[in-house]
Amino acid sequence: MNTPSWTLDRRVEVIMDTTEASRVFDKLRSYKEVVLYPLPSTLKETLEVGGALRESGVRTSIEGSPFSIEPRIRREEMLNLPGVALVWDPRELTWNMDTKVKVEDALEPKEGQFVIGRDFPITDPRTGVLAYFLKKTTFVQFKYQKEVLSVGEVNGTIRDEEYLIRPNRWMTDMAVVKIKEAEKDQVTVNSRELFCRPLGSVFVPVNRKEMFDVLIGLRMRSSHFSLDCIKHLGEVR
Amino acid sequence: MKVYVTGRKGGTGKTMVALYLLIRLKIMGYRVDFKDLSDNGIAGTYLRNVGFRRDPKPHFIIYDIKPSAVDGSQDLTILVTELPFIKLEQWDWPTKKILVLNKATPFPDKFIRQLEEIKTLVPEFDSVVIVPFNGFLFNGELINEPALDRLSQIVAGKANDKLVLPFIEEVSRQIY
Repeated sequence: MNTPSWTLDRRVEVIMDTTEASRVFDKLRSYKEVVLYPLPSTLKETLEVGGALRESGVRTSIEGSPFSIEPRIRREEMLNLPGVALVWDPRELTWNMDTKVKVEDALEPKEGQFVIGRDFPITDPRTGVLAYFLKKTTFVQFKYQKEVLSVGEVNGTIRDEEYLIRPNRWMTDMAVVKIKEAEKDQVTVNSRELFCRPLGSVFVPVNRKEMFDVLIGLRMRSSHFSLDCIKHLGEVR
Repeated sequence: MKVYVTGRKGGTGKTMVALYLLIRLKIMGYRVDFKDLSDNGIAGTYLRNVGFRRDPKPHFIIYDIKPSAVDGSQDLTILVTELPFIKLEQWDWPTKKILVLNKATPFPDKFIRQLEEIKTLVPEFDSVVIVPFNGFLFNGELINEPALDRLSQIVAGKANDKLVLPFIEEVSRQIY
């Protein structure tokens, strides 16, 4: 990470020229406002740092998108998922979940349990819970940028899915991004949509029916973006 | 204050909004009464089942009321509908009025297009509140909807947003 290019009133702008996301997050979490500029090859780390900062209450912008934090909407009652076990291996900053969502520990998985990290091939609990619920194992992880588009690697198969979703850490709301193009092993999305509400780098692809299944079954909401972000996306003038 | 919660189209969430409002205003410390003047009587049954007791000296009386029973004696009218059904509604009451657009689409591209239409409705009301499709509310659990929390604040005179979007950063419960 470069030395902050300037600071004023606890704001810092950072060029993400490193893949050490945890170190960057530790340095930035005490700032009031953070602007992140990814290099084409550090998209994943930028989304992880941006998501972790927003969920920590740090107003964050990626590449000129409007600042935002992630609203902290915590469940009032526990969401128990006894059929799910998790291999705890938080490799990325946003691979965590609020304690109000209860999954078992996968050290000694019970027979028939869906193990996040085994049956779902990464140890991200948020998308793992979606995968369990939707009975699918495909995920997309964003890795790099190509001009105004962000490119995600597909692990699995994209069929009729039109959107990518990633829950917040409280599993009450989500970021939704429309797939622009899907090829065999990669998808592209508009980077501005991805940067308006960063919550991490891993997403689950869904079709319209699956979206409603998740919202109803897991009791979640899809609240889109702030008005500033909608204006930024250029759709509302 | 008499608050009428109404709307012509069935199934859009009028009763849910009225009950949510009742609960939130009570949590905010107000004395609230409730009257079910709807055709379905769902709210009345629900409140009897949870042991709701009428308040003789309320700050607010929430009415779940069918449009034909709206008599003009209310102080505030809350019209609840979904955007595709807005053409079925009328809102010519001479009172303060709030439009609640319930079950907004969860798909961002569609939502952004719908906002263009919603923008034309904003001048017609004192406030427009957009409630997203919410699995808690869909399952009858009257919790965890910040847009309706903000509606409660508007009704109580603690906020005066012209337009409330589903994405609300300053969630009242949040503590970082």
